[in-house]
Amino acid sequence: MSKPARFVRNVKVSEREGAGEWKAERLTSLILVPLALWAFASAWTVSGAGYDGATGWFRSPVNAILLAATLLISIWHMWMGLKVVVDDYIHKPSTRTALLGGIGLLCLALAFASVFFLVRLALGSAPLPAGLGA
Amino acid sequence: MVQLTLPRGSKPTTGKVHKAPAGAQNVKTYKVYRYDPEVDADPRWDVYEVSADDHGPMLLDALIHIKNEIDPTLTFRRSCREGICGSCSMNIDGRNALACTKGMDECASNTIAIAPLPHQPVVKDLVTDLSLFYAQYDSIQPWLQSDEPDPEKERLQSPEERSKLDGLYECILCACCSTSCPSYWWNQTEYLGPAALLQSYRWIADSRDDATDKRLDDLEDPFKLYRCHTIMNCAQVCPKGLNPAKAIAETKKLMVSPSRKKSEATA
Repeated sequence: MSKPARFVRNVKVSEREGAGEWKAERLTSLILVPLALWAFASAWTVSGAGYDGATGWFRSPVNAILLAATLLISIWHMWMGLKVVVDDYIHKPSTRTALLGGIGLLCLALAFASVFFLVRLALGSAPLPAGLGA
Repeated sequence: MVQLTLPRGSKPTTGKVHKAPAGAQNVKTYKVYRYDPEVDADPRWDVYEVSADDHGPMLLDALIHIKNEIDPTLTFRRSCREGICGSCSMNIDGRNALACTKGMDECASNTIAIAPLPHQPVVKDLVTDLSLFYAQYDSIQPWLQSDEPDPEKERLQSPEERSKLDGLYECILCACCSTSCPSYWWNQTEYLGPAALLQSYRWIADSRDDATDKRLDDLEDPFKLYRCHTIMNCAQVCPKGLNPAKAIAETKKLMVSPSRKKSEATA
């Protein structure tokens, strides 16, 4: 089967997608308002609580889950935002594909790292496994 | 990457200066973009000094005076001279407007720069090639599509239903909005632009039109619709005082409305 034309009479043919992402951009923004306020308030408290106070704070399942949600939703929102910037300004298909791929990998790595460290902190372990770093 | 500087052959040079006759009163200076792709290597700014006492109060009056009395080679589009045909849209003092409805007294200084609509191919001087703009308008199928059989007389609408078209039907397709939109500058081959999207919403909002779901399907695309980032230049410059950004926002809301019936892609 031949590939459908991307343009008809110089006008792009609809890809029938985009509404979901538009909705996700707005929903993540809304959810991040209370989460970000909570995260800043918590950072304020934890910073004055000393080492034991801070590790204790991370061991609370509620704190760990809320912080994981804040970080993951922030990364998701950032990924969508960076994609918009690339789509707006980068027109060379190969550069665009490479940048979108790179941004996707970076966000994925950030998401994994966030969850990895949060789980270790919640379980009361040192941030890094033995033998890795200080 | 988007082009942030003018490419070779696009940078205007200094052109001719047409001085006002000695003793002329109330003189305004017009810096007008001149370019004929067939003979000119580069565009240039020609300067015309004109007494405002010699012509009517609008920018278009000044341009017609320049063409009739000073330089018949100056090329621009004009027709109705009352803001309804949209022909004389151009960039006046850095802002898209209709020359016929822009009063001389609205210009901040005595030197007025007049250029063609931004980011469009120039046919000659202030005349741009709007073929793509019209193709985009054509693509939104700007006509009534009803499932009802043709009635004996007109298709009735309540005053409330009719009022939903206010702020939409007045669009004259002058292209001031689309060519002032940065998203359109960078992605006009894929983004439909504020004018076509406002026109599309004009039919979506029409109670007599039954093609809403199809119209929404044809617009749902990361580039055709979602390049609009509510920059609002469109609403700032519209010479008819319309708000295309609001029409686009309404379209985006309908896109995620539970009542929408999305059909499978046919291609």
